[in-house]
Amino acid sequence: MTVTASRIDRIEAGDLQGMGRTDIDDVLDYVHVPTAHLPGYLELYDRYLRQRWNVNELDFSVDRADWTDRMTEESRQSFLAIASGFHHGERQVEAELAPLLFGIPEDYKVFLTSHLEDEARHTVFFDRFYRDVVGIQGDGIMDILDASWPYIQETFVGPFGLLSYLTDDLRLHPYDKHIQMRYATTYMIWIEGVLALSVMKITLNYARDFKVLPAYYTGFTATCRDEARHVQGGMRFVRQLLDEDPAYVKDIHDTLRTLLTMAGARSGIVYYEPLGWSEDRVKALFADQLSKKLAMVGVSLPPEFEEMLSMVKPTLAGG
Amino acid sequence: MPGFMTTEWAESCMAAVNVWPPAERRSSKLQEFWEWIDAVRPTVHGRLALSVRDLPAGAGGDTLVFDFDAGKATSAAIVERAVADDTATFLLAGSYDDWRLMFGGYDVGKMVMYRKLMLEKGDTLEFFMAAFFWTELLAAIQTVPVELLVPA
Ligand SMILES: [Fe+2]
Ligand SMILES: [Fe+2]
Repeated sequence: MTVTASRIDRIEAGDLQGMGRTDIDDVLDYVHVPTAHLPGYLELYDRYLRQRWNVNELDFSVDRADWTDRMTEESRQSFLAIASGFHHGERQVEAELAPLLFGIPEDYKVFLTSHLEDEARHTVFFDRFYRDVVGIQGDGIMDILDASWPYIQETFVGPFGLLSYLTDDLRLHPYDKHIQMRYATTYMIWIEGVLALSVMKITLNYARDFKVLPAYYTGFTATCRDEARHVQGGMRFVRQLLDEDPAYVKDIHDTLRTLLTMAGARSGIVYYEPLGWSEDRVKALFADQLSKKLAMVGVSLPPEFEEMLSMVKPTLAGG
Repeated sequence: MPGFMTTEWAESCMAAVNVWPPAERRSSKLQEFWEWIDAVRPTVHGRLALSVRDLPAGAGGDTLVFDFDAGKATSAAIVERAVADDTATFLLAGSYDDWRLMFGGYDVGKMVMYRKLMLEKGDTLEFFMAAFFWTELLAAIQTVPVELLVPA
């Protein structure tokens, strides 16, 4: 399905309240554009200026009532298992982005400052959700993160630990394009392009279909529109590196090999059924999201990756 | 109780790593998690070094090293960082305070994710091919009783 022109206009121009009335599936479709239509960095920055939203305008009081009165204990637990991966994921992508700024093209630097601000706002969005809806209390960002830590999958540390360590590689060698490519594959292709967009679809479809958590739906749909910019900027950068030297494709493959190997592990079961999903559907969603990102940068995977992809156990996280 | 960064402690750590996980931990996670670790085990060779950047004076060395053959630790020792820099495949290093935090029960996943321990030698993508083998190794070391040095 493609998004019609009028829907695109509504997604492009909607304000925060408008995001609450936008269908999340349309926003997810809006991410994917053919390589030739990837917007320029300054165009993405201009979109940011128009689409920026204020996280403190959200009122979570109806969500709080839904959480305590309308949702079942089972659906609260499933929701927390999924949302906590995002709570931590947003903090990780916020805290790990800065070293990329040094060695990227000049126009991307301008856009990346807005990307960083978005991730900080997404971190605050989840902080507010856990305080105002789930009812966790504490000082500062880390207190709340520590309280939601027990809900995340243990294998979360796979992709996000890798991102932390690649960030340090980049801090030491900010102009090394192999490291930039490994970093962009982990951050923009896998964490944002596959994990985040998949998990957004699951929790937002749930909120939409069960008519619960309206402020969560509004803020997280706006977050998804922000992610569209991050992914498109990242795909443009990956494409640019490949145009400079097609041999960088090896860094994409090597990074995905490590990510997919880690994605074959899980230590506990997540029950998707209370949210209206099954594990097989989530797996198919992951594979679909990955192939769409690779199509955007014109990269294919060697046959050996097929089997790894079939072994993937979804990590429910994003950034 | 063996002292931190002593030969006796290194040997106790190796013993714990080689019999890991104990029954209780095994049953706390899906069997398939341990199967994943068993599947990567044969690929783990060479030397892992775990180093303290700012160890208070008085220890025999600041770095614990294990030699691995197909995921089994075949020797353990305490060496100086310079020796580990020359010989290790992977070297993780952290501050003494962060090591103490780990012995206090701090989550090993957070030790990695919040960069309490950094990979200061070795290829990052290769290291993460065995990610959960390494985090479980840290969890094993965490359980070995140890007498910490008192900072001067
Ligand atoms: Fe993002
Ligand atoms: Fe984000």
